[in-house]
Amino acid sequence: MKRVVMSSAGCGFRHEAAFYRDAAGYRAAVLPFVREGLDRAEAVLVAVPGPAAKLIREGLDGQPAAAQRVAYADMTELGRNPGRVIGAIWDFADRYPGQPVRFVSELAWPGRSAAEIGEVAAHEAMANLAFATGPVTLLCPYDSGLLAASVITGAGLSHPFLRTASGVTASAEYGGGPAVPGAAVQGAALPAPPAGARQLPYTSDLRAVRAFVAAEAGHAGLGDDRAADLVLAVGEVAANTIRHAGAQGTLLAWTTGTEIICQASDRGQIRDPLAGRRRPPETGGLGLWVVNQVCDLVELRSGPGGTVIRMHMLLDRGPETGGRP
Amino acid sequence: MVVAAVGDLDIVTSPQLDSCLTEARRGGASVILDLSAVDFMDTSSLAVIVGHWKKLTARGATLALAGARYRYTKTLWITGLADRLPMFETVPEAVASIAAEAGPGTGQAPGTSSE
Repeated sequence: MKRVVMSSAGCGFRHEAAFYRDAAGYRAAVLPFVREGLDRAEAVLVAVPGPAAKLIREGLDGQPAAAQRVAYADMTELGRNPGRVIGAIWDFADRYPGQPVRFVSELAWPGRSAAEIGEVAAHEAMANLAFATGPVTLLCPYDSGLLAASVITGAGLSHPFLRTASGVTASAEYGGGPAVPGAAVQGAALPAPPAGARQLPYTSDLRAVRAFVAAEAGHAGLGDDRAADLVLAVGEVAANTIRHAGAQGTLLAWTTGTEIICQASDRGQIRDPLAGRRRPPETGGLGLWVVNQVCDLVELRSGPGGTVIRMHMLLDRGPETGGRP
Repeated sequence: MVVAAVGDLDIVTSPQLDSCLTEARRGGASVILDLSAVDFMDTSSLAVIVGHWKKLTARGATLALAGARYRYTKTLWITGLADRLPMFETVPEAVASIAAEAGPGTGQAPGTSSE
């Protein structure tokens, strides 16, 4: 078979960031990226917050045939938990076997919490690992006018390429190749839980774990369906404690003004930094993947000293996420 | 053969589910797993179900799920298994479908029983 090597794009993974300040800047960066994909007959998925999708749709108005080959997803749903996005990109790529795909991924919208922004940064670093050799081209737009300077600096570190109205350049700040060390991929240390967090040491009594989570979710006012999701998520993590960490774990639960958070910790170590981010091919290792599908945010920190998994559920959201009715 | 699961299916109880399904497969025919009284289901029980489903389909039989309630068995949908495994609202519907699949006039293969 003929080996094709392309210098600027096409084969292998390319991960670009675009920094914009207004609608004109957004169009100038994102539209050429989408058109480039359409010119190459690539499948394109645009996953951005709703208003941004409108800008792109309008920008493609002159090309109705091309626009039909662009799929859209509301990133505030799909990427509410950034831990779902790598899986979503793979699912999209799997629909076009052997073909390059292109993805606009805007995850860092203004107003996200510090914990969410931290997981966006972790996602961006992990995308470099996940797609190191995949036929995927990613563009991640960042609002440099509204986002904190540290977020923009972080995006410069995690994206090998920068896209501007005048084209694509290599990022001078890019921090490293695919072999990003685990610590960098995992993100910063978690802030300590509040002193008033409720605690449940657990062993293999999963019924007690589920009852504890259901009661905490009830007190917090989480809706029934989402409470069931949280019970499922914590149950999966506790099952991993039984499987991999000698059935000794500690569960904490607390609420903030906007969220209920459950944290499970044990002495086990998760060595795969992408655990839970890609749909496992068969039935092993599905637990963390399910956790990412049902939770609004998941913070996973793992090392030789053990594993901590923090699962967040927003209290004011719709009835449920993930799956289908 | 119908296996009825009741209560919670998790990593602690899934070995029990595994032995029940192993027992049911000895009959030689297709197996129906009644999930209508299941209140919780995690991914360890899915692994058990898929394992038996594969063994059954390998010999031309199947494992059908009946009565799964979305709210309590959501893992089936989240993982996409609900689209892969035969799913029925009720046990009688599963029985009828399996009987129809076997085809009229084929009779019973040696070593199989209807239930």
